[in-house]
Amino acid sequence: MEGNRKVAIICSKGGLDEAYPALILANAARQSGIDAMVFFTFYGLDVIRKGKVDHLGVNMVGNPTSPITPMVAGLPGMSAMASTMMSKRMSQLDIPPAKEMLRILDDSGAKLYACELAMTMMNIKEAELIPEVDSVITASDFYDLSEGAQIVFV
Amino acid sequence: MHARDNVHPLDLAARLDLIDRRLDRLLDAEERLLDLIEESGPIAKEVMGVATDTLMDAEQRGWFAAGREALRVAEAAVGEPTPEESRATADAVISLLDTVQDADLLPVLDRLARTAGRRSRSAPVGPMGVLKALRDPDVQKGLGVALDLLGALGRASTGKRALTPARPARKPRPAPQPRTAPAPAPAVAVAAGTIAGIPVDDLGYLVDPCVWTEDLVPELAKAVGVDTLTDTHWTVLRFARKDWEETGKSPNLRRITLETGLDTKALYALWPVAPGKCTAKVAGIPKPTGCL
Repeated sequence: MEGNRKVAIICSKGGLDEAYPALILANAARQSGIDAMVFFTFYGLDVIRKGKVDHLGVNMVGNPTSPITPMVAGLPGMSAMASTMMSKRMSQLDIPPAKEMLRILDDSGAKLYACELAMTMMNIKEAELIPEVDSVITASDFYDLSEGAQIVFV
Repeated sequence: MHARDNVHPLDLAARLDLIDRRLDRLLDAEERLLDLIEESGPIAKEVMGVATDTLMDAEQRGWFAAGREALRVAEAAVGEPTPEESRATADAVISLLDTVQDADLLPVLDRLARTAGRRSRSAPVGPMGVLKALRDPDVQKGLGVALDLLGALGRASTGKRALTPARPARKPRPAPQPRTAPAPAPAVAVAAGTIAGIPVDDLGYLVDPCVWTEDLVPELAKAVGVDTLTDTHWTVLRFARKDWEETGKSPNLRRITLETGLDTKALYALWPVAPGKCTAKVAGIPKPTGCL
């Protein structure tokens, strides 16, 4: 749409707490009639890979405001526990799981792209990506597509 | 020379008689006393016997030794108290007893003593065991009590030196008021215009949702850019209106998709942009809140 407000979100991480901001922002943009695209790179690719998308997790070690000290948060099982707790909380609040969020994004007209360089680095084939992804693009393609858009790096 | 030297012989006789009578009385009294002693002899002996036996028994049971030690403790603890100090000590003891009774600590301590005795052979617990134990509500309650006691200890150590009389039992904290969402601000939206004669705010939502009727829908739909309304439109509009009337909140897109069974794609096809917002505008309900 000419002259319509646009937003381009770069999703570079694969944790529940790291990828969801990108997905929610894109969805809210679409709900407000703003054109949206999400560019997945590096560990963000896990969000659009079959199989991986169903098992996104979270760990408290990287969170400086976590109530659990990193020494304890890094123990075996702590990450799984935190992920389970967060997933449970999200389903209690009726927040859709990542796969469904991506389907909603696709249905609402948001564009989903994968980063070619990151895919090469991490040895990921296009066939491994979920069907909702529109195409695999490079960084300069990203700049072409996001002309006039507000760019958000998550 | 006494005046009595020249006493009359008759007076002397009277006096002697008096003395005699007095002596008789004395002798009677003495006799009665002797009788009493004689009768109480055996009783006294028996009493003495019992007393001695009891005291010997007490000694064997260690009461005397204990008594001596108790006196020693009292002396060490109390020293040579002045009346004021004694009074202060007594006050402290009374206050302590009152507190223990008030706080129902006595039965708790009693149970604690018995339980602790039974559990004196608890297995050692490592750090993971601690984490596991923390999940037990009993342990959590115990921690709460221990922390309360520590807090009291801290307060006591920094509090006034003078002893206060027993404090009345602490009033239970009033149950926390259930936090209700703040009442939504009354819709004092300024009418920025009208659609079909009905005032709407600057974003296009009805200023007063209650004036909406289904007849307004075509006009409202035109205002958001839709000229023809399909059955899908009506399904969605009617659902949104009903949901707002029933729950007081405008449904967000996710709720509409879940409840009507229509998928996101279909909803995005209904309106040129922003399906959630357009639905609300045309259904005459407020703007939906939330992220989904």
